[in-house]
Amino acid sequence: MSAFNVLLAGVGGQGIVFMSRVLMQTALLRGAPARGAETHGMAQRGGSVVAHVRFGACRSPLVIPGTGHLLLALDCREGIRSLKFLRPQGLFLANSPGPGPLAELTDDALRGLLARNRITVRTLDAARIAAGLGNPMAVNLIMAGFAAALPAIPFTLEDLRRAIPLVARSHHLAMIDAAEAGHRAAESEAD
Amino acid sequence: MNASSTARRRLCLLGNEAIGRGLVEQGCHLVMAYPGTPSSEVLPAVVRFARAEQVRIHAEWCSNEKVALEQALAAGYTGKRTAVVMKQVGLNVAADPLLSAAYIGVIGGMVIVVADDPGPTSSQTEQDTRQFAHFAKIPVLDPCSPDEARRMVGYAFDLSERHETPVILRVALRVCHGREDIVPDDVRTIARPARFRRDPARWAATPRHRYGQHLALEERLRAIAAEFAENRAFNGVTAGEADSRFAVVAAGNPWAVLMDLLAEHGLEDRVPVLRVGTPYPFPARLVDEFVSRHDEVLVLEETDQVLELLIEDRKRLRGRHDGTVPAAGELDGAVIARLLSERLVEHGIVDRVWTMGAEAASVVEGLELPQRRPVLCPACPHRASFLAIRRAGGNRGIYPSDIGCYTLGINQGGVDTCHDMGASVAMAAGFYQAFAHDAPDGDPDGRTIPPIIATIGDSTFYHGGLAPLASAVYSNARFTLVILDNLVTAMTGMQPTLAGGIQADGAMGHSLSLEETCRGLGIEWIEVVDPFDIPAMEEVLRRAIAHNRDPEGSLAVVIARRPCALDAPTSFSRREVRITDECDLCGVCLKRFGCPGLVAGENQVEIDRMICNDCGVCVHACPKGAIVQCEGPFPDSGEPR
Repeated sequence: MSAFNVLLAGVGGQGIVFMSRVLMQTALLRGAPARGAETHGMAQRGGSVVAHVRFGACRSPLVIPGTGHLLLALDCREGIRSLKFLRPQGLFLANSPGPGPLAELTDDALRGLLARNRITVRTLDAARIAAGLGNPMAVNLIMAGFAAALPAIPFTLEDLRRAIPLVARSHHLAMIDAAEAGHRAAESEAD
Repeated sequence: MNASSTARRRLCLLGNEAIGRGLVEQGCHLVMAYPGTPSSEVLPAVVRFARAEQVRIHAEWCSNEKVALEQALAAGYTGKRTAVVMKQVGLNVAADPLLSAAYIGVIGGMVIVVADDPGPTSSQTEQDTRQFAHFAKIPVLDPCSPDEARRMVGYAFDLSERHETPVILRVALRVCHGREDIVPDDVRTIARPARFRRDPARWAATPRHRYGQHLALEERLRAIAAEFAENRAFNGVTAGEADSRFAVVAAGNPWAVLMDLLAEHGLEDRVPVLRVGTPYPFPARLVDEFVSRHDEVLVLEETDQVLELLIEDRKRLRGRHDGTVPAAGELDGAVIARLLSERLVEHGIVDRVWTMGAEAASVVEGLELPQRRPVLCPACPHRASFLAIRRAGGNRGIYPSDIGCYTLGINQGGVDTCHDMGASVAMAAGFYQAFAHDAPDGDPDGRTIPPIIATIGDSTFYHGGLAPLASAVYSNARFTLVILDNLVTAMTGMQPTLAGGIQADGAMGHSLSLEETCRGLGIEWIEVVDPFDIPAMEEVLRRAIAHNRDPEGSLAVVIARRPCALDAPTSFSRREVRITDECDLCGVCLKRFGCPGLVAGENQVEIDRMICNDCGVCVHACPKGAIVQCEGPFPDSGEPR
C-alpha cells in the first residue's frame, strides 16, 4: 500500500510544525508508519511554510508534486501556491475568510485546473471560529478537526483528542476544543 | 524514568532528535556544538534523552565551531567518546583543527555531525560536506533517513575507535528536519575514565612527524575504503533488473525520493539503483563494478558532485558534469521526476516525461500571488534598532551586518553586507580604511568618510566578532558597532548565549558582560540603549558617529538591549495601536519599518489585528504622526490619545 500524502500550507507563526507533529502522532497511535518534513530557521519568520506528512510506507519525507491526497491550508493563498502537490481527485481544504470564496479561487484558469483534475475544494472561515473560541492561534487545530470529519482521511477526531496531549506541553483542553469546533463545522455544513 | 521502558516506546523524532538519541544510546560522553540551521536540534535532544535515561553527558553550546571541535579533540585524546555538531558553514570555521585531526586522530570515538542545506533554505552556501571530508581526508557517512542517521552514529563510533580517526556524519536538510517514527535502542553506558597518555610525537607532531602521519593516514583510508566496499548496511543495490542498460547511483534524500517515484510508477523492479551511504573514502570496488555493468548511469546526490567525480568511468555517467542534474538547488520530487523520466524516455522504459504538478504550477504562477518573504516578527527589537540606525546614518551610511535574524534588516535598508559570522566588524573596519585612504589629513566633517554602522547579534559577536574588533581597536578603525543584544540565539531556535550565561542543560554558568568585554578590548565609548526608545537610540547613534569623526575620537559601541519578542512575549507592555485619518498611505512605515502588522489598505495603512503585537514602536515610524497608541492597555472603546 502506498502512503496517504498530506500537505500543510500556511505562513510562519501559524503553528504548522505543531500541527504536523499532531498528525504524525495520530499515525503513531494507530501503529502505522509515518514520515514528515518541516520548515525551521529563517523561512519560519513570516514566510511561506509547507509541511509534509505521509501516512504509511514510503521512503522520503517529501510529498512528490502530483501525488498529494490532502492539502490543508491555514491560509488560502498559501494553499493555492501548493496546489501542484495534489494528485487528481485530491482534496483541498482551506481556511478562507468570509462566506464566499477568495478572489483567487474564482480565477477562470484556476477553476479550470481544479475541474480538469477533479479536485474537491472546501473552505472554512476557521479564523472566525478561532476568534469565537477566544483563541485566535487555534486555526491549525480547527482545520485538523475539519479534515478529520471527512471521508477517506487517515485520522479521526478521536485520534486528534488522543494525540494532542502527547505533543502539546500545555493548553490541551483548548486545543481539543478547537479540533472539535472544526469537526462540528464540517458536520453542520454536510447537513 | 526507567531506561528500558523508554527504550521500547516508539518515538516520533526529527532527524536531529534521532541523532541526539543515537549519541545517548552509544554512550557518548561529551557533545560540543554551535547552533545553526539545520543542525540546532541535536544538542537539546542529547540533553533531553540523557536526562530521561539518567546518564551523565556533558553537553555544551560553545562560542563557535572551531572551539567546539578543539575541545572535543582533547577530550577524545583521553579516550572519551565525543561528538561535535554544527551546520555546514560552521565546518569552514572549524576547518583548521579538522585538517590536523585527520593526521593526529583521537583515541575515544569522535563523530562530527555536520548538517548541509540544499536549497539553500537558511544558509549562505550550498557547500557539500562530503566534498569537505574528501579534502580533509576524513571518513564520511551519508544517511537517507532519520532512523538511519541514528543507526549510523553507532557505526561511526565503532569505525572511529577502530581506526583512531574522527568520522563525519553528514546529514542534509530533509534528514535533519524530516520526522520519522523510530523504535529506539537501549542506552549503553561506557565507563571510561579520562586518561591522557603523554605522546608529544603524536599530539604535538612537528612537520617531520606529520609526514609519517600522512603516510599512515593514506594507509588508513585505503583500509576504510575496502571496508566500505563490503558494507551492505548502508550501501547496496536497492532495486531493478541486473542487465538493464540504464541505472542510477543515488544517495541521501534524493535516493529516497527516487525510490518513491519508481514505486509510484511501478518501476521498482525495472531500474537498477545503487545506494551509497559511505561516500568517502570512496568504495571504488562496489561502485565502479556497478557502473561497469550498465551503459548509462544517472548520479543523484546532494549538494554537489562527489560520487560523480570519484567514479572511474565518467563516460557512462549522466549528472552535474554534463548538465543533466542542476548544479544549484534542492533535488526535490519535481526536479528528480523530470530528469529521471527524461532518461527513461530516452531508454524506452516510459513513453513520456512525467510532468508531475507542472500544470498546476504554471496556472498558479499565472495568478501572480504576492511573494511572502521572511520578515522580523512583530515587536522584534531589531526592527526598532534598524529604524533608528537608518535615521542616524541616512542614505550616505554604510551598513555592514552579519548572520542572524537581523539579516532581515535588509528589508528596512539597514543591511548592506552579509557575509559570514563576524564579518560585520571586519568589513566595517575595511570600509573605514578604504575611505580613510582618501583622507590623509583626517575627516572631521565626515565629507570623505561616510557614517559606518555595523550590526551584529550577541551570539554572533562571541562567535566571530571578538578577533576583528581587537584588530579594529588596534588599527584605530573608526566606525559604530551596534551589538543587537536580544539575550538569546533567536534564529536557530532560542539557544542560550555566552552573554546570558545559561548552559545547554539549563543550569546557570558564568555570564559574560558585553560591556565589560568591549571595555577589556580597549573601547572607551560604550552606550547601552533600549531600542524601543527610538528617539533616544537615534540620539546615541548620532553622538557615536560624531565620536567616530572627532580627531580625538575612536570606534564606538552601542549595545541595543531588549529581549527577543518571540522568546519573551511578556517583556513589553501592550497598548492598542491605531491609524488616524492623517494617514495618506505615503508608505514610509511600510518601507522603513516593514512590520507585518502594518498592511497597505485602499487609501490608508491598516493594522492586521491578528499579527499586531501592540508594541507601539511603529508610532515613531510615521513621519505624519498618523500612528498612535492608546493610553491604557487594551481599551474597549474610546478615542486614541
